[in-house]
Amino acid sequence: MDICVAFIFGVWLLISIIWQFQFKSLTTIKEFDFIGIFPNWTFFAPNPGTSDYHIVYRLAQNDTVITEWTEIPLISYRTYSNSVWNPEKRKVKLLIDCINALIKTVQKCRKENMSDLYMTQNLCTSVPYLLILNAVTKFHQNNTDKNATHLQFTLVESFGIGSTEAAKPIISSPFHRVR
Amino acid sequence: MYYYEYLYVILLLFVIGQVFTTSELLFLHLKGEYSSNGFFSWKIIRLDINTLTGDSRIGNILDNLLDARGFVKLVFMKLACLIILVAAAPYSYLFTFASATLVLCMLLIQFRSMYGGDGSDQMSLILAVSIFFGLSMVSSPVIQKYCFYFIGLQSCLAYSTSGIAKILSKKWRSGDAVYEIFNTGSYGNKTISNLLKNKKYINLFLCWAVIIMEIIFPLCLIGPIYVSFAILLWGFTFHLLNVIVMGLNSFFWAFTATYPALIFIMLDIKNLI
Repeated sequence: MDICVAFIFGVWLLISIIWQFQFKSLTTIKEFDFIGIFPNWTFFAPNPGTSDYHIVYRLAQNDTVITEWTEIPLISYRTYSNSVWNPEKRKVKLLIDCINALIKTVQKCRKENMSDLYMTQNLCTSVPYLLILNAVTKFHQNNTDKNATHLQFTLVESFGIGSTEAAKPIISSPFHRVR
Repeated sequence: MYYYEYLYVILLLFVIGQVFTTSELLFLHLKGEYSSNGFFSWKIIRLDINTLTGDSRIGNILDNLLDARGFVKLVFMKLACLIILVAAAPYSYLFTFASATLVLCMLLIQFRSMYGGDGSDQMSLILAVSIFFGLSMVSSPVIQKYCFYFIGLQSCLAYSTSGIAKILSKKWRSGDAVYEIFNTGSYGNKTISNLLKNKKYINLFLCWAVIIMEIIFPLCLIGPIYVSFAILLWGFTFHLLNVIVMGLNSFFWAFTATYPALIFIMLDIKNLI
């Protein structure tokens, strides 16, 4: 048993060390570690998250846009209770993960010289995109105009609490039918 | 201190952190975020592994385990296992069964959290597996020693990798990173960012303090005892501040739970020398 445990820990540690390197050949293999057994310990580096991501959406009835952009409230100012209890951080992290994955997909499509149409198809059928669309649809169903037939969302990046730099859109979806 | 006592401190810190983490998952479940139209919809996340599992039996089993109803059962099972780990006698059948089930639950929950999971989940998995091998029926003094080295080296790898990645970053080297992170709504704090605004040298000091301390963190294993404890004290304070300023509560428990293993290795190496 001792040898067996030594082997498991040894292999796990060795792969964890290799995992820290950003080799191109490793990127594909890393995508198959769905569970995340092998960690990547580069917290807030080399590119620290110095911006906030927001989801805004608007509604349309058939061909007419009927609402202004509405933000889904995900980011709130830190309270001291967050030190003990902070469930919302998982939603913020999910949004960051999804946006990073979408940006990677766009970069990959551009690198492969894909047409805009094919790139849009690729994006709109990806899991991160669908997760965001799903969240927007749920928020809309609970909060806003029930007469809307279509919905469009945009992912927006802002640059800090006191920043004067204007927020910029990252990705805008086409209109999706909601009923 | 005996091996068992070090492991038990690790277990207690791990359990406290996991109780908070698991109750957060439960809260999100109650808000419907794990339902099919929630933020963490299994129906959608599943598409990522469809090519691997398809409609196979594994796919069906995963569907039953990880859809909203299965997920809440997993979360409750994890909570029950955590309670048993504290209540049951180590090396017993019950402890072995609970720790093995806990590892399984954590693997499945982590799989479910492929979007939205973080490094504290991964460190917690490392701790859970080590607790299984170190305090279950399969344990032996040799295995317990392996557990300490495994946890301690993963912890050192985490800090030093993070430090090296930061020194390679222009934003960290220039001293902009700390203020800019604290200035976000996602991980920041309005009061602290106001305090740090236009304080170039303080920001530079903070960035380089994090870079240097993270890179030299493994020295705690081989340095003089007062240096080792100073490094651990820095680590503890660092995580505590991250909790207060950034809301990274789960990291505090997951990473400080590795410190007893680091102390064990530190003393073990000193005994060897």
